[in-house]
Amino acid sequence: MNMKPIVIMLVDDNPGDNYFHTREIKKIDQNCTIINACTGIEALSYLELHKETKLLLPELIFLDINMPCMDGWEFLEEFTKLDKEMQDRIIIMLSTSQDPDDFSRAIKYPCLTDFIQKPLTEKVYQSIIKKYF
Amino acid sequence: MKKQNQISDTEILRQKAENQLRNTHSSTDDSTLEGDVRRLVHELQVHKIELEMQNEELVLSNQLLGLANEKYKGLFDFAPIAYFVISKEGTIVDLNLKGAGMLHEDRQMLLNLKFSKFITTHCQKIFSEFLQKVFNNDIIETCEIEMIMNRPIHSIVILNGHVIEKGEQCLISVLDITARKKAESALNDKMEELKKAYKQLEEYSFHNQELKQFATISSHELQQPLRTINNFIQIFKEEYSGIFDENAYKYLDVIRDSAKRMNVLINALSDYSRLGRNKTLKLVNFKELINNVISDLDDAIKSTGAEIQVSEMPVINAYEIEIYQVFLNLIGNAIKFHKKNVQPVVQLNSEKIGDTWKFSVKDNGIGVSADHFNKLFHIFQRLHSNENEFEGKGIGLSVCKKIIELHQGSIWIEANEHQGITVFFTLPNLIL
Repeated sequence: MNMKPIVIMLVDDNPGDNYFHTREIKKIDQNCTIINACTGIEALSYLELHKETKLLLPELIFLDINMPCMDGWEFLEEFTKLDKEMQDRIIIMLSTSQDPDDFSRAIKYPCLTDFIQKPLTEKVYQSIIKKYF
Repeated sequence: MKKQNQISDTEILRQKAENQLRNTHSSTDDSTLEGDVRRLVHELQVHKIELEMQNEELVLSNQLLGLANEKYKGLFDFAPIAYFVISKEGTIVDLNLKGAGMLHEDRQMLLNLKFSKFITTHCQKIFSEFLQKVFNNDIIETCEIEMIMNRPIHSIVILNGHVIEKGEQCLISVLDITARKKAESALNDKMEELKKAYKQLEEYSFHNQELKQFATISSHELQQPLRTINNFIQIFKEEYSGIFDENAYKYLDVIRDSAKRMNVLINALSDYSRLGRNKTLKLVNFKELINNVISDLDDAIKSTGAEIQVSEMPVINAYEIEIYQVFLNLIGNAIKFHKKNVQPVVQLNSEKIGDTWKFSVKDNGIGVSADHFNKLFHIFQRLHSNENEFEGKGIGLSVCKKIIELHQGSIWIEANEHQGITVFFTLPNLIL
């Protein structure tokens, strides 16, 4: 696959999932940079920290719902408060949830691009890249 | 005006007397009497007649008064409320029939007795204060006391009293409100019961809410480790292929299949717990709905050659998505559990019984032993141990039961005479 190296952030507290998702992404895209954040807070502070330099800012964020300290929804609340420029990135909810209530809640966030089921496989990742990049 | 009338009344009376005198005898013609004397005699005669006339009127009005008095006495005696006339000293001067009846005593026996004799000890003070107020004030006074009407039964009464006879006596009405009080206290008891029931309901609904949350959260949390198992089986297979023998991969497949099965069960559980959460009641055309279910089951129908017979169906209020699920599960089951080498025939019927609709889904399948009829509605209850023969989550009928109960209906199974079973369910006429 020929494409410029992409920066991806996985916001998930489960190391098993992170390991697996990273592995699946790397199957398609060996040159990408993957950043792990265990909670919404960690993800937010990473974004704040790299705001000035604009280096290694993730273009694609995979966001889990259930996380300690700050869950996916709370992260989205905070994310929408960032500068418009900072909000210009693809966020995809990556969750176990099949709860229709979660789907209808997700629609209410314009900054959320998609809502997909775990696990993120090689195939799913490929279709995302095709669709959004 | 009034004064003028009075004057004219006297004048009329005088006129009448003069007329009468003229008609009866002509004493004025007595020429022997002196002029003054004659005039005086005339005056006297006129006055005499006037007095006679007035006396007649008085007798008449006295008669009328007597009649009115009798009428009043009748009203007093037969009034539906007990009346007592009480002296300043508190003795009974008079009473009506209702009053006597209330105290279960002869009317004559009660005269001159103290009224307070019929009042309970702890209400004596209230009564004496009440009596004092009645005699001191020129208004109607009221009090509520307990009276001993018919030993040993106490009655609660309301007394209304006001002075009569220039303040020497008072008239007291007695209204027995025991029945009303009893009804009030019964009502209060019922209210208490209702409050308790409501509280219980609240607690129950809290527990129910907790249970729902438990099912949703646990199913979500349980998925997590399960997915990790699946993911790492995949990684293991990818990274170590060729290192282990064939058996090792077989074992891995068993682990993976079990994890997948568990995944299915957990999803079913969370679906079950979510049932009816966003339900909306609407007018549903059951014929159309069933036709949609049938086209949804097209694959199963074609592969088994099943025949689905649908009789007349009503258009009634129901939770559409949920009822769709019921028919999908029931028709699906009827096809799935068919006899080998027998064409599955599923018959759907509806029947109106009073305000309720009764539906039935009849099959000619493998049937179920009657002992298991109730067990079938329990969650994850499957009667066939061989998963390959009849695949399923073991949740279909419990879903149906929950949905029918959401509609306040009931669901049950009966064995058919020859083969197969019939699932019946009822839907009451729910109002939008």
